[in-house]
Amino acid sequence: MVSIYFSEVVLTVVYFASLYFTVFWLLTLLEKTEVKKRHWKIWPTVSVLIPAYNEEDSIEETVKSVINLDYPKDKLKIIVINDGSRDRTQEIVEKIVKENKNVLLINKLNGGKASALNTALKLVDSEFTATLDADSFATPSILKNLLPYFTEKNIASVLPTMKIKNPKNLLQRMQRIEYTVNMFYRLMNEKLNCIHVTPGPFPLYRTSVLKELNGFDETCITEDLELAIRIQKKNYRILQTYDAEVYTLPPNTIKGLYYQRKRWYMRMPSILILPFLSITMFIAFMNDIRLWVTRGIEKLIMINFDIFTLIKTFEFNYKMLDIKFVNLSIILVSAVMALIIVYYSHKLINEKLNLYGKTFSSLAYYMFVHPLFLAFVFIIVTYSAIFDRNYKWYSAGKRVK
Amino acid sequence: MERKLSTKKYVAAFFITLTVFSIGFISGIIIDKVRSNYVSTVLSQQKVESDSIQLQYLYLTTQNITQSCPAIKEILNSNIKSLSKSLGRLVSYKDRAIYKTEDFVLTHRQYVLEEIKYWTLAGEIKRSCNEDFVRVLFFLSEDCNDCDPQAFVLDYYKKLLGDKFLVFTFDARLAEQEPLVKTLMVQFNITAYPAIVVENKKYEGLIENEPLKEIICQNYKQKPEDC
Repeated sequence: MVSIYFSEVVLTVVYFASLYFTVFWLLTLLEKTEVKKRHWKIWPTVSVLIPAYNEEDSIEETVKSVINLDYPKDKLKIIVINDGSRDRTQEIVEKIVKENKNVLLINKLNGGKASALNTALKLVDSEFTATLDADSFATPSILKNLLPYFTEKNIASVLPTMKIKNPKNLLQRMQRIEYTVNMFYRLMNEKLNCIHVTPGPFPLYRTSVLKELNGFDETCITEDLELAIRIQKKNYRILQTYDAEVYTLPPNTIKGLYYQRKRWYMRMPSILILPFLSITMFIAFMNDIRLWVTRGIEKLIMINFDIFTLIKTFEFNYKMLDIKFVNLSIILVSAVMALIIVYYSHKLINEKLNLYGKTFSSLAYYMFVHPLFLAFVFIIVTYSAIFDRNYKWYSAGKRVK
Repeated sequence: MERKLSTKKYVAAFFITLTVFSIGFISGIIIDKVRSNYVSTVLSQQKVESDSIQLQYLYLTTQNITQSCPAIKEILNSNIKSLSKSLGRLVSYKDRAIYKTEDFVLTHRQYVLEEIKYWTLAGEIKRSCNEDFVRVLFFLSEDCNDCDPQAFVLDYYKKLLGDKFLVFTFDARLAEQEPLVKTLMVQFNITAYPAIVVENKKYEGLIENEPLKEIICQNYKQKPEDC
């Protein structure tokens, strides 16, 4: 008689589903996609919108990275939108404006990122529009590398590869791996034609599509996600590229990372589905550790901590057949898949895994510690969503930073 | 512009998954079979050892040769230790088995019968050879939180006292399949778990280190050093 228990049925379904998704993704990865590029005889006009709110630390470098783009100056317009900053942002940008004719500064009352972008969009008459977060930096060749991908009229946006700028400590090195692996997921999304976000650092849009969609949704604080979904809904395409790069500054402390991720996930109501899985995994994991530790201590107390006898009488009694093959296969498959993804992602963006050193510790941190941290953030976000009356995933018009 | 959706890949992924999953499932069944064969082979060897020691004991007692008692006791200890290891392995395999669990149950019954044989024989050797060791029957159950710590402490005393302490473990779940386990449980009136029977006296519930030490040690004629 086949003995089947309910938990085993549930586990079997979970294993099957997980394996199905893995196989599906592998098939997607192996699918050959033709990359088309066009040659621009005359470079088109481009506007770069930089919304800024209290960005005195990075705004100068950000704007200068766009000024220094390898692109005809007469075809490039830079619009910095000071969204009611209370620091020196305005002063710094005004100085740059004086020195550069193609840089324009708009000062407005604080109204949120989407509102800032829409204000600038009204002044845009170029063929293409890029947006750039004020803490990110474009590489000189970015426009010349992104534009050739606009081969068809239905391509609404082309995204560059996002990289971490000069990671210095373990946390930043770990984030570099995370960002790189995200590029792999983006590749998968692109192959399935379902990129669901055009993130802040330098997405290049066809201006006509932006205007057709009436710009960014000012009531939504996840404007980059919301816009991507509207682009997809209209059956336009979003492409991800790997030869155009943009650098961003990562948080360098756990506290900074915590606030960044909390801000990200609080802006994504759909992601609240994840916490239930994360909470279960987090609690189960912590409970396992608690049980393992407390039972171990209880046992040692019971024998008055006579560890010496245990060590003295220890016998190795293990056979190949004793191996838990199911657990072992899951661990092996997961570990191999994870390593393949990490390797492939770095190959994809043409960067060595050990570029910034301390590879093993960064990788271990990313694979074993970071998921627990994210689960913790998910728990906090879920708690806020349920109990915090001030929580909202939509914007009230003010910048959430 | 219409979005194209190919169902081919979804179907292909399903069949590949099904194939991989089936290979995994069949491998699991094969592994179970190999495990079942392994514990059965070990059991056959142990049965021979058991028959041998019983015959030796019978021969020596009919010939009234008591000089061989230490040698018999040594063989007994070695056999019990080996049986205990195999039994632990069997229970672990049985709990993980996905198919044909009845094979494991049958083997488990045979192991338990061997244990009871050794327990009886140990009692005989203790009496006729005037040996000084303590026998413990340990009854545990699946849904018993204190069984694991109790097993740990008993195992600790086994390590500490060595040949002077013999533990025979019985899974109460087996009482439904093996009448002899039921008989022992009725004989000692086992109603709660964990339960231990030290020589012929029953104790129910978790017995901590010091009280257990006292119970064990009071059964020795000449107390070992660790008592």
